[in-house]
Amino acid sequence: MLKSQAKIPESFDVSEQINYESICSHVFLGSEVGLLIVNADKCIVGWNPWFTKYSKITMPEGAGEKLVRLFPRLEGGRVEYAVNQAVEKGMSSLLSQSLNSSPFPLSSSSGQFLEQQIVTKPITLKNQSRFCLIQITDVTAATRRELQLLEQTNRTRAISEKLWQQKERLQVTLNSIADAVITTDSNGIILSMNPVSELLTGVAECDAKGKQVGQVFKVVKEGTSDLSECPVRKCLKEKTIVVNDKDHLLQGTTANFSITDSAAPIFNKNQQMIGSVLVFRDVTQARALSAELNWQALHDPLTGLANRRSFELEMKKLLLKAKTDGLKHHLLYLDLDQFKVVNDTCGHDAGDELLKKITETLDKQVRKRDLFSRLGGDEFGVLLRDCDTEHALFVANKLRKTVSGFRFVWQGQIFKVGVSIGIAEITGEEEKSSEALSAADAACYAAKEGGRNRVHFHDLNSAGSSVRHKEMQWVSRLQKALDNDQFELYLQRIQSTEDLSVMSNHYEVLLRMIGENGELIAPGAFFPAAERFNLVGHLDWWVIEHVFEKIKPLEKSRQQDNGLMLSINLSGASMVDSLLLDRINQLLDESSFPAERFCFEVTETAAIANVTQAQGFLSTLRSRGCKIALDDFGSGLSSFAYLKSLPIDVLKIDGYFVKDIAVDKIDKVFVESINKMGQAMGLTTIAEFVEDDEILKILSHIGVDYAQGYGIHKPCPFDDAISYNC
Amino acid sequence: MNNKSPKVEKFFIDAVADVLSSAMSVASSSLSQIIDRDVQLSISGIDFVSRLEATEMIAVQAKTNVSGVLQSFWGALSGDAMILFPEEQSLQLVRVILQEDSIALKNLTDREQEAMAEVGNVILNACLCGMADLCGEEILGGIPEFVQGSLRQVFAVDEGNEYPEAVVLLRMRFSVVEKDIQGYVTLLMDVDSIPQFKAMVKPYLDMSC
Repeated sequence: MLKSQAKIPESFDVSEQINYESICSHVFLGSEVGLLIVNADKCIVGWNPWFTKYSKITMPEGAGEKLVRLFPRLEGGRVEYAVNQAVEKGMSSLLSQSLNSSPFPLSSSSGQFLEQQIVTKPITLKNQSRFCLIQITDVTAATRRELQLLEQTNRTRAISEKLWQQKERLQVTLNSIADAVITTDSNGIILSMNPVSELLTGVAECDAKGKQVGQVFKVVKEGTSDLSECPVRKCLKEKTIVVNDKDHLLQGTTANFSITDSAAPIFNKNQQMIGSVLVFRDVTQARALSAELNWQALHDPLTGLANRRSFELEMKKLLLKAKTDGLKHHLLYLDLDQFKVVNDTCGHDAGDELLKKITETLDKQVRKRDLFSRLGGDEFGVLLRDCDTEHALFVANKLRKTVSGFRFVWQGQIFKVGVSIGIAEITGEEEKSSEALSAADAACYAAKEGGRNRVHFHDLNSAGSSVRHKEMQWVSRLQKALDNDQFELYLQRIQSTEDLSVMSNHYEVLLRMIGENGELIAPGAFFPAAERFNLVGHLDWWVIEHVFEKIKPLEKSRQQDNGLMLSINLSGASMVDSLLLDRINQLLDESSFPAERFCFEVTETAAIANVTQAQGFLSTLRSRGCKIALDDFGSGLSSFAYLKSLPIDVLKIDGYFVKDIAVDKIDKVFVESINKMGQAMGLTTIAEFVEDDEILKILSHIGVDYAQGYGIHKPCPFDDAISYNC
Repeated sequence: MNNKSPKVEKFFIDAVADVLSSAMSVASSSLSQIIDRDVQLSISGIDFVSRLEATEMIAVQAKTNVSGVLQSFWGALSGDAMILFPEEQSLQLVRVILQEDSIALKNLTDREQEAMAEVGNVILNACLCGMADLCGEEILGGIPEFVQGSLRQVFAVDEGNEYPEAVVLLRMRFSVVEKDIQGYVTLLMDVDSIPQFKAMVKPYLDMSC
């Protein structure tokens, strides 16, 4: 790269010299760069036509002029300095375009200034006179090109930077997300894998790259070992998104995972498919949880048996099947006898343990194709599929005997339990599965009624079955009546025995149901069903709401002044209904009818079943001024001690002892005793079931304070009783 | 002359160092004017070495390629003067001078090379003028040109060959806008030039003493 020393032509022959000078002259005149010659005094000796063209100054105008005088902007600048160095020191200089902005005022014909690169060189003649050659090159186009190139480069660089950042972001995103992602080319060859996909497949990206995706992503249908079609393959074949959201198991090299996956084709801007992206997710835990929830939804957690819901679903299926296949199926309804004894005496833990043990024992007695289920509490169901009546009876008896022979031991005590079993046939003629279930339930009820620990086959003509069956029919009628207000309030007078000639203004509120044909139905028909199916509380609500509605117009009327008193019955279920208590309080607050004109009647059985809550409920009402009556006293064989613990004002002697008082001395003694005891405790006494004057006389003689019954007043509609005092 | 350092008297070296230092001062002033920023040029060392030794010494700092400016000189002394920078530093230098920090190309563009040539030209002209003054004779300087490549390419040396030329090697520092760029100025002289150089410097030394 080092240069050899520059050679300066020194001497020529004359002829050669003439020729050479002629050539030099042509070169000088025709040169496409600007050439200026300045002498040692920095005066212009001359320039070539190029310079004239771009400076617009002719040679005669410039020759002999001082350079800086002709071009004042050069004074003190780089050009002047370079010219000085050339003529005084013999140094050449280069003045770049970038560091010297258009030193000479040169412009093109269009008026655009020329970007210039300038070289100054010393010229020394033989006589030692020194000149400076200024060579000016037009670099406008080159400079512009380079600047454009730079601008383009910078732009490209900015785009590249942006793309790189986007790629980095995508890469970081891919590496950070919880989903596994694999990309492939259009032939299904793996191009990339993110860390999660490496983890799930057990294959590192470096090993997977270049392989068919199916070699790394192996999926089977859960519960089988058959490889499923790779979703990428299908996606590439059909050019569409393929989604698998269930039953897929990824076979990793170290473990298997339940997954959901989707494969989507990738298209370029020309809509050509260039590959695919496969996204999958480990849902092992979620699927296990879902399976657990499903199991819990259909099974009883205590015994592990199918629960009622599951049983009913199976029943529905079986019912449909029975309609088409003509096969006989049977349903067993099991209710443990004496289970309550274990539960009450040893606690729920013992009860639960008993249920588990019994279940384990019974489960072994049914066929695999049969469904053994816990329907609730101590009730079980068995669906006997494809089973004739004879075999159903055989199975039922086998189960009964098994339970009979079972002994439950708990903390040293041995318990013997039994089971009552009802059987119903599933014929396919039932409209609903509940029909078969209620038939079996009714049969079970009949078995219990028949003395427990026995099997009863459902028979529509059987008394026990029909009672139960009818009860169940009442449920829907009751519900419908509640929804449509198909009840009516009746009143029955409670007469003071002190002066029978004056009609008392004290009534017990009674309830009548209005039948579908407008007939009135007494509570004896629907009350057992209401109690058994927990609707009695709803009836209490209905009565309370409607009593207060009825007395609204009376609040300021004569009736109030005459001391109208209303006795309202409350069931045991209401004793634990704090909302009802709140509502009664609210109604009492809103009504101007005095609270002391209300008497709430509760049976001793209801009160005793939840003594603590009953005490709270009744005390609250009593504190408002309401009277509390203990109804049907004597029938429940309860302890007199409760009388002391319950906040009561009135004792109603059960009509069972009253109705035969005229002929049964024991009943009379009983009534006398209760009355005496009640009055001794400061309670008002009322005798029910007073069916004739003779009974009334006896009661009056005994000193019972009030009497109530058909012999005194037959119940009549609320409004009639109030209006006419009938 | 072999490839070992010629034995040059200490006074002679000091004299050359003095001259070149003042040349750097002149160049600093010129460059500051050109780029309208304060430029500091200083000499941190001077050696008289062979061409190979110069290559090896520069190689300590410039591990990769170098780029710079080459300018021939002739007259009282003849040879090639070069200013060289490690490639990365030359990029920095030019871009600081042109105030084009955003440009991040790996190589200098034509425009940038030309600017670099001008900067090198200013420094080398100052050095050559200083040398001419020291000798009391005229030295003519040629047109500067941008050079780039490995040290061996730039110095045109091949392993195993002997190169008789002597090199005045200047380690210089170029400071501008808080950037400190190190470079080298080399004056590679013909074999015949060395005794001439010494002879020409002698009156100067006598005068100094």
